[in-house]
Amino acid sequence: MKRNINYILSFLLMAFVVSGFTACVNDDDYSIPDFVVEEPDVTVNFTIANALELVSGTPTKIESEEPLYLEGYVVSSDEAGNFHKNLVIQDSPENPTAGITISTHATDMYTFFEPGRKVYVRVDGLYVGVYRGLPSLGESGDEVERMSVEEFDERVLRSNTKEEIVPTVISMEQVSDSHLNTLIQFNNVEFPADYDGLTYANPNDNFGVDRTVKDCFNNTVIMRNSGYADFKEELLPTGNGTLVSVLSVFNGTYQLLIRDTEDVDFEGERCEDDTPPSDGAMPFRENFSTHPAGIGSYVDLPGWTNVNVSGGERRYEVREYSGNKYTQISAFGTEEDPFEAWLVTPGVTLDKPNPILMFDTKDGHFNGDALTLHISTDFDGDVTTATWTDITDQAVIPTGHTNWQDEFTNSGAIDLSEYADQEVFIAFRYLGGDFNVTTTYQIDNIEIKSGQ
Amino acid sequence: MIRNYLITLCFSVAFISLSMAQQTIVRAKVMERATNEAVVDVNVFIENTNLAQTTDVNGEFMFSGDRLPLGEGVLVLSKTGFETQYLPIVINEGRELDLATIYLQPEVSSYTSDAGIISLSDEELDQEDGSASNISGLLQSSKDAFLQAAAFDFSATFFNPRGYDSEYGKVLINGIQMNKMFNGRPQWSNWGGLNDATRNQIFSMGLSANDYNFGGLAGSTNIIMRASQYREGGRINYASANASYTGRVMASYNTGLMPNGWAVSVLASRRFADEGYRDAALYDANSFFAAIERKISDKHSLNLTAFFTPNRRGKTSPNTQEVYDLKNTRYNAYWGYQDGEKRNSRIRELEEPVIMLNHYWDFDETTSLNTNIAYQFGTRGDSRLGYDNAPNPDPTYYQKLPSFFLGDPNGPNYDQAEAATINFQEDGQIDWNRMYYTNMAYGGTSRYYLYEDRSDDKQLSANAIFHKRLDNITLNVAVNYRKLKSHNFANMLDLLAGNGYLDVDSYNYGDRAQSDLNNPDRVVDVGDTFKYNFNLNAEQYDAFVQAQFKYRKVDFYLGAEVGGTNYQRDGLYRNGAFEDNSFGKSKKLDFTTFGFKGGMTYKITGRHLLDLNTAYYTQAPTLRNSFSNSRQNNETVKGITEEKIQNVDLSYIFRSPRVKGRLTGFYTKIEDASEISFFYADGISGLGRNSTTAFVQEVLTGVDKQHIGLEAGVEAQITPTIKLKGAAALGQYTYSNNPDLYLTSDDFEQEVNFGESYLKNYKVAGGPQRAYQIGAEYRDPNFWWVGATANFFSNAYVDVAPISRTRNFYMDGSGYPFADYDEDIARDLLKQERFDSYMLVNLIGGKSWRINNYFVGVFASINNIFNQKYKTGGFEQGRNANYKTLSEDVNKEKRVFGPKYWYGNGTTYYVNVYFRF
Repeated sequence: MKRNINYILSFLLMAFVVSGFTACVNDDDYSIPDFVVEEPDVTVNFTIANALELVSGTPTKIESEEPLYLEGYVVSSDEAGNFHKNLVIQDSPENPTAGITISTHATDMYTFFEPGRKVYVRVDGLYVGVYRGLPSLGESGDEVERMSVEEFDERVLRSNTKEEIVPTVISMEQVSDSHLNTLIQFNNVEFPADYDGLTYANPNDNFGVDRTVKDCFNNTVIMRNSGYADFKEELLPTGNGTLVSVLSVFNGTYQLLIRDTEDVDFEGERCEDDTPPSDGAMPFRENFSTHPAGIGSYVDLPGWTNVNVSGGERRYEVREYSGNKYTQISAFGTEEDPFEAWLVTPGVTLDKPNPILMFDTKDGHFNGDALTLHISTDFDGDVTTATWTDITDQAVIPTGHTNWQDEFTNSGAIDLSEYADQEVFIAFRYLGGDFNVTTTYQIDNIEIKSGQ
Repeated sequence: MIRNYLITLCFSVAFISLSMAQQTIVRAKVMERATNEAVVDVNVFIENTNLAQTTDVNGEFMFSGDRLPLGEGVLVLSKTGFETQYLPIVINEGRELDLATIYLQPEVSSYTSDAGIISLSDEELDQEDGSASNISGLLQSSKDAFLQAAAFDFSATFFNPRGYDSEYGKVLINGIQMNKMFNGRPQWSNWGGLNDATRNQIFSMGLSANDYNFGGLAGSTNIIMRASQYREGGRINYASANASYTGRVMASYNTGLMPNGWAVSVLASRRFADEGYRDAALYDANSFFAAIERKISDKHSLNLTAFFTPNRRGKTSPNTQEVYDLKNTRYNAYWGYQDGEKRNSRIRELEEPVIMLNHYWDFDETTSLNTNIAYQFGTRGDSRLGYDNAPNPDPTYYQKLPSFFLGDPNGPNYDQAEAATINFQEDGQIDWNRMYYTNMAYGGTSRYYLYEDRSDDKQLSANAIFHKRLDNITLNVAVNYRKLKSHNFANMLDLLAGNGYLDVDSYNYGDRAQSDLNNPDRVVDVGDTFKYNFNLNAEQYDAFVQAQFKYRKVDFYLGAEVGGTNYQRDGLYRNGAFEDNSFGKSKKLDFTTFGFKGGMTYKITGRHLLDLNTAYYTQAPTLRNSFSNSRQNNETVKGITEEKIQNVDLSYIFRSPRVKGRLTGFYTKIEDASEISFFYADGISGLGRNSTTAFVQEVLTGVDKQHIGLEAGVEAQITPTIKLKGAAALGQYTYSNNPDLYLTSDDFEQEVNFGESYLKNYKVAGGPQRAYQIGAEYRDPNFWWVGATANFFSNAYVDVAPISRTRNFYMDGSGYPFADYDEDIARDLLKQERFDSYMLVNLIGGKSWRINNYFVGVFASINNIFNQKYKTGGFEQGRNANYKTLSEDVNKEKRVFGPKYWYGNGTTYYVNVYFRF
């Protein structure tokens, strides 16, 4: 009997225990939090350019009674580790006029602040200045110091807007402070030939490495690669092509910072010859980058002829604008009418297949065409006695611009194959007159090479 | 208790007043005090003889015959679950000594084994993150005053008797060893919550004679979980506490051995807590046990026992002192709020059921053979957060704490330190929402994810234990075999709203970053295996023989063991960093072990005894310490060999009806041990590369340790109701040589050998090396009792970083000594931290009632009533491996990479109510 009672009791107590199993403890099933991400409610009342105006020797505090917000678009990315504790923003997704680096202890910002992401930055109370020459926002110090992670989280607000950033295409000669902290693009650039087999950075250590990038005119800029970058062990590509990067500077030396190797698209053919022109062989190139520039700085290069045939002083000058050098000619102010000047290249033997001529031109203050293009095979130093063939109509030369264009106009490929295996001289003839046709021409990147 | 004395008096009277029988006889009936029911199967023997009896169904026993020792003697009555009685008797020739009724009472420990659980949660028992291990579970059945103190009052401090790690204590269930082959330690959680089913325990201290196996330095416990061994009846408990769990319900029923030859036992329990003493230390454990036994004949009995204790527990973080100072000692860095609930990122989930079949074969009264086979299988998972190319989610990450800003190389940045202080104090937990948000904002593969380190084990154990008792000699023979297949891998638990996870190591480059070159660039989903994947296969077999001799003046024993162990890793991934040495089988490690032990008990008189134990044995290193980097490659530890252990201890034991005491001196030497640890090191020289930082595996080989000390325990029955007790342990556990140290890492190609690590004379970490207790107990005749103990602890030490004690310490990256190296400063930097000493006061009490045939009881305890704060352990961070980095860190206003500590619980309570029928 007792046993039966016990059975009943034990059944009851089992029921009791089982009921105890429902006593809850958090289980693993957590639902994904619902995020409603609202656009930050801020009034943009400041710009990156405003901030840059405050840059001076030591960091300057941005003071304001009201909260000051600027907006910008992210161009850097620390995903691959080439950027570290820096967020770079520019003021517009396209044709930016200013950019700045936000200096912080925050890491791995790319998840929220990827390239193209619009951000609002509260700047009052921050310091603006430079770090090793690079305009930066951050904390006070001898130079701009990093702001804490908390400060960054509070001040840098993520917009729901994301834009495609269009890198500004410039030549290496045009690299200047005005492009700092913005996304730029070079076309037709490459790593030096002797880099074959090198990696972006050293596999065996964590030091940053400088790599040179060059264009086909032997202009160079440093590419700085972090020793912590994911791609540091990857081989440098050996081709030629476009390079997108954020322009930075370190103690007076410009540096290019790529976000990832996708920024390096060097799949094309390398520049045909990396040695400077001198021996009259193809390819021939001149971009005047090594020549002194300025008023009265007449083109004076080995093998070249630069002559005023109307009796005056004025010849083709080398000028510089926005970091780019080119040659320029105009009759304006010569007090000569007519005014005639010739710029003749050294002789180039067209010993490669499909020889072509290319150059870039800009016209300004236009009041009539004045520039013509000529070729000769018997030029001996005197332009007046040589036999010249006018090939102006084969070239695209801009016309009619009273204001300066942003970009040079490429001439297009001028076929020289009928002169194959002959030594040719190319002449730019300017014929105008003061108080008459005084159109100004700028000419750059003169090339004679094998066409496709 | 008064009755005991009356009884004793009665004996004397009985003896004086004599009986008229011609034969010399000793007889009595044994009853349980509370119930007045006869107690069967009580072992009764007369000390210093081999005369032994058990009580019959009426609780009666009788000794008779010529061989009864005449004169003064001691009659010993013992049964599991009852307090052992020692009765002085005088046997006269030709007289009958009728002791009438002897009352037994349930032993204190069967109450206090509940108490033990409060001060020591399973988590503490299973602690692996630190050096601490706890062994007190082993001691709970011991009746020795010192070991009782160690089990119940010292355990919260991670005090280990004689300083032995729990891998040196053996736990058997029905004769089968339960210590894990992976780390040698018993996995207490595998039978946690089965308290009422694990009360029958037979404990052998140290390496003393033991009927089942060779034993271990720290002792050996056999938990008997046979259905026929449980007392008929049911029991139901409810406990409330605030230490590791907040509630426990437990119910059990045992039929006892029924007339039809069957016995059945079942138990189910649940323990739960949303959080324990430490924040977010959740506890979710269900336990089930069933055993069925069939007594086939007088000679054969077959038992089937199975238990399953699925449990989930939230782990707690060790923290630097800075963190504890900013928060408090309950602080746990592993959790954060999600959906308004505390979500712990580090959960241990254990589901390892055991099923065993036991055959008991009694050839005759003196000969038995016990054959067992057991199978354990299941899973163990330890969850943690992973993050790739995303900020460390650890709220105590050093760059988030004030010390980081105060230690700015450009001078203290007080503003940012203040901001960090406020931020940490107001929040300072894991930000789950931000992790989800990061993954969602990024939109690609998960930057943050939750995964678990899994070990899925399958273990088969079989053994046979033979027992033969001759007149003065008991012979024990046992053979054991174990085979383990352990599948280890990382398992994705939660992608936290990311789109898969790209299984590429973000800290490595190119092919080396691939976890499996056979299947590179995998994107894994929840439930997929990733990071690492391998099997460990282990096999162990041994044979043990022992003879115990019992004589009037002296008992002694001799034992020997021989065995073999082999281990092999089988890589299932071809790790990119170890292309040629990760996929497929490793070389097979083979270890041969043997051991001898012997000891004696010399009885100066019945009251004064000397006890000596000596042993020399070897044991295989654990699986854990055999492969230097098992997650990534097949490399075995260089120069790995068997551990050699020698031990001698000598005790003086005093035993009178009122006072029991023991004083033991011991000396143990452990040689050729190996230890592996993992950490991120900064300041490692001689890597043949410019970087001095790396995630490394640190391998120590040829480690020698020496444990010497004294321990003492005494208890005195001052009055029939008042008992005083005292215990003391004075130990010195030190490294006794300078072991070899080398590092391996996927950051460098070859292991880097640093030669000797100058550890000699450093203290072995893990609990206080000195502990003292005084206590008193009052046991009222009206079935209630109270007790109090004051416990004093000192000489606990931090676990030192061996890498800082190598030549690397004074060398710069190029391998030359630092220019500004100052030996005095260095000595100061490397001084081992000794934790502050402290006192813990514990109270316990209980009462029971009898209502008809039912019993109701309540047991309560309050531990650490003065809310003393104390460190239970800690370790130096291996990060600052050299003089320059360490001295820079130490000289900061607040250390950035100071040691991490665990703190003990503050005041905790435990109340248990039970109902027995």
